[in-house]
Amino acid sequence: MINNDDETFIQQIKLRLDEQRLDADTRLALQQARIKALSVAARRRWRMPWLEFAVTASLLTVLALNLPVTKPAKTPEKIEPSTAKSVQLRRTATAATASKTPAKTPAAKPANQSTADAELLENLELYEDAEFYQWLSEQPQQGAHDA
Amino acid sequence: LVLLALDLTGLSVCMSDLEMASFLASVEQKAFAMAMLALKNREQALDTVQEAMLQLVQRYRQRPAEEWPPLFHRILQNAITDQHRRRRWSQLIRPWRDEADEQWCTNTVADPQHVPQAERLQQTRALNRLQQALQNLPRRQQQAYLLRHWQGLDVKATAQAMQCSEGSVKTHLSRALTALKIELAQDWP
Repeated sequence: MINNDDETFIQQIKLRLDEQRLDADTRLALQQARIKALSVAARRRWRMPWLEFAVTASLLTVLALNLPVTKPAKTPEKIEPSTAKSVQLRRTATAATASKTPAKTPAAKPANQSTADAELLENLELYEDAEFYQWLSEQPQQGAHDA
Repeated sequence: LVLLALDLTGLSVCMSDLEMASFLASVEQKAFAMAMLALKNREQALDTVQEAMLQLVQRYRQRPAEEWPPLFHRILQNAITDQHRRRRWSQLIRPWRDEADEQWCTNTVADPQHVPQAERLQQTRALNRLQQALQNLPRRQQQAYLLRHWQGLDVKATAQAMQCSEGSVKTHLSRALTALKIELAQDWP
């Protein structure tokens, strides 16, 4: 507990401490320190939008550079019912050719293998709907045209 | 509307900066005096105050102005503790060098032109004795006393600044007051 005497004593000390004045050099140094602290904060604040802009711009640039590289997904082509038969015929022919030719090692004929792979890839989407085309080819011509 | 919002934001930022500048101006001299009492070295005290100002502005500028005093003093006390640690290491490496060798002679009493010579001398002597007594206090007692009774923080804010409980603050205050009364019992003020 602080009694009245203590309070007076504390006030005297406070007054005495408040009376002291720093010399001009120290006051100037403190003022410079304050200005420096405030200017650093101001610089930092104005740097942030620039940083955000730079990050956004670089991200957009990277995105723009990558866009031509990535191919757009192929939209499934509409196949006319009349072409379905030709597709099936070609598939049958390919299968027949494959059964007649003897098995060869991939190292022996890489060119043939790659050609076959390319053909397979080309017709990949057609193979996905093979059952549908099979069913379509079995339908009578008239019905197909109506559909 | 966007421009208006930007203007208002800029205005509030400027106001906040002004408030911060005014706060720092109001505490810098007392902060330096506290650092000087704790460190007894002018350059280190200046560095410590500058570091505390920088950290306050960088980290806590967005906080409400009422929170600044305890935050600033907490940063200041931590910086003083760091300086003490550095000094201990430095003395281990170079024991012949005493960094706490500066006296508190850079201060003068207020308005020296308007105070008679004898009175000025007495005031300076009283101030020196008081500073000596404060320097002789243990560091935590010194912190508690200066924060509570000179900076004017309440017990809660003092506890926040010292990062201890309010009970500890009261204990430090009581011990500091007793020690000061004993030290300054004779021939003061």
